[in-house]
Amino acid sequence: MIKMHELSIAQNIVDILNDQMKIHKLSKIESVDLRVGVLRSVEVESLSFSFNVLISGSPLEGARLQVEEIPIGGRCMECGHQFTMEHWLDDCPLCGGPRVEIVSGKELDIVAIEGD
Amino acid sequence: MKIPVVQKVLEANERIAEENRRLFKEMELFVINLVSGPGAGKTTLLERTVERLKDQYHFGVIEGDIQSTLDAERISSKGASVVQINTGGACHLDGNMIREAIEKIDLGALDVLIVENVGNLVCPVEFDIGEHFKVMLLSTPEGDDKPVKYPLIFHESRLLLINKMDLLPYVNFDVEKLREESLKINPHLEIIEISCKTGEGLPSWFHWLEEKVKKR
Repeated sequence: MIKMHELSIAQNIVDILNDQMKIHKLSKIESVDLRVGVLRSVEVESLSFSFNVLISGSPLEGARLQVEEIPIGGRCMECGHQFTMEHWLDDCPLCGGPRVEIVSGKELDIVAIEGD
Repeated sequence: MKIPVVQKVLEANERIAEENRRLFKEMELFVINLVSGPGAGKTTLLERTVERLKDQYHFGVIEGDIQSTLDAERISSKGASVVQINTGGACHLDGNMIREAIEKIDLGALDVLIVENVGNLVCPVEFDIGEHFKVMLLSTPEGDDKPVKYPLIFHESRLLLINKMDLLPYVNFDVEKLREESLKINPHLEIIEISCKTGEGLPSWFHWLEEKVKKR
């Protein structure tokens, strides 16, 4: 088996879902909403593939991952302008300031689950 | 039924990493998570470091390798306490692997613990192991495009060691460009140029380590 960080991440999601099924007394989970920052270098296809392999034959089988990718958000340390960055080397598009603080793009969160 | 659940996916790992961190603090142990691509020279750096500082500090090394114990044997012969973790295919070490590995060393006897992560610039960055600092090692033959390709490791590291400076005349590696881009990603990053082969720059690295061990 080839392991990759997507597989470890998928395993963590499965563990959390199993806990949530117990807590909310669910018999099945239809979908899981995830927020994944692009800086996490997570391949969504690899993640879904790993997730499907892990849940096959388990009570979670059939659950779908719905991934919202969060772009890198920067805030200019000169003028305070907030903007979406292509990559970390971008300057502020408004004032050209080179010092930009990262304010989003590292998310890796479950935000909601849907089930019965 | 839609249930809002706001939970960090890697929370389980982060919890274990925090426990490790508390333990390291109790033991007054300085812990480095050493990250690089394959072949940057992590093991040689550790050999040089242990050789030079072994009279000052007792070193522990956790060796993460997908397979083989070659690196562990090299370090162990220099006089460090070594624990080998064979990840059996995994591309990184996580908090739990470290928790299991430290049970096999006498932590109380150590001053410095260096975790040599699996050679990879992506996955190890995701998994906190409870270290004080990540130290990134990059060698000049790998090229100077790494900040753009792998920004997160530059952002998360405290120190960047640029290794194989002796090969600079033979490779395409613009040190100034690399410094500028790395500092843009992480203004707090410290950068030291070294060659484990010639010994150039190593005293600066030893000094960095001594300062940090003092403050642990």
